[in-house]
Amino acid sequence: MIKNVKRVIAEADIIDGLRFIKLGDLLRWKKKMGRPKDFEDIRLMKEYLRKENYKNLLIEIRKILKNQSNSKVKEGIKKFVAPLEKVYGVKIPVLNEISNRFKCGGFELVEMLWNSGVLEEKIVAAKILGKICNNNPEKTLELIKKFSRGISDWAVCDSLATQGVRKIAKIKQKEIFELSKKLIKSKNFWQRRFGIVLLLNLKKEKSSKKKIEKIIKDVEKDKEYYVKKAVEWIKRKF
Amino acid sequence: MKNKFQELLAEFKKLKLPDEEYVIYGSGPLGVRGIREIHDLDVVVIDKLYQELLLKYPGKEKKDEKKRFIKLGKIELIQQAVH
Repeated sequence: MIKNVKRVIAEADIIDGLRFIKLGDLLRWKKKMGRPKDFEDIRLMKEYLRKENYKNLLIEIRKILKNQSNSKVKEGIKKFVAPLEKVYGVKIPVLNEISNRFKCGGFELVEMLWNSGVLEEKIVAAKILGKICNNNPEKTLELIKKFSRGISDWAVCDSLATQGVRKIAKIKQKEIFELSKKLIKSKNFWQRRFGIVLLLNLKKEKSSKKKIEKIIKDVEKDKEYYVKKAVEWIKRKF
Repeated sequence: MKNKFQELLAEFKKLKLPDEEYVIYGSGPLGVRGIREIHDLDVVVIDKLYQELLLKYPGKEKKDEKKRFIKLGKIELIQQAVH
């Protein structure tokens, strides 16, 4: 039976006016009982608590972003970066701090932040991805490929391209080249820019230089301003 | 229209158990969060309340190897000694 029932009752979750044992207490109890009929419930509870944990991290991040938002910064971002996107107006050092503090949220948190569609949350997602990409390089490549479809400003584009894969650039050089080649042919100009900026992660070697030159041939005459700028950027670097 | 779980909770509310003398456990906490469907309600009640309920619902007490409980339809009120 339940130990410390007084505590369990006192700390219970009140839902719809009724007292329900906290899921954490129930999970411990079901684990202790070790009954096969509870195994599926244990799995479901763990999954639920894991998701709740990510939701709570997201709530905490949003609280910080709201508290740190600044109307002048917001105005600047709207004017020079992303006129059409949702923006908090938070400075980069704060975003760096958030990504350091919340990198424990892993890939799941990265996806939640990215899917929010708010500029700073996307940048934090890119920064966290950059910190954890070593844990699963394949997953990272899969995510950046997916995320590239949702880019609509240069700040998010370049944060994701330069920071998101930096740590795995060496071991995934071939895959990054392939992805870049594919993205550069996209109809979406943000994907084309992303494909170019991705190449900045690669080593300044003769062999890389030749490959890069070959890849960017396709976009050298691109008329889109942000693609042109990226081509200039990569040419300067190599 | 209420689903079966909501109906079960409505049934339970009618018992008007005093707050801080019971807690719903078993699968109920999973049901209320929509984690899975549930068909019955297990409720732990402290011993003092259990004794009162025995008087209120005579003949409804059941026992198994591990516990004594009062069975009211799909609701089981399980005796729990307070340590």
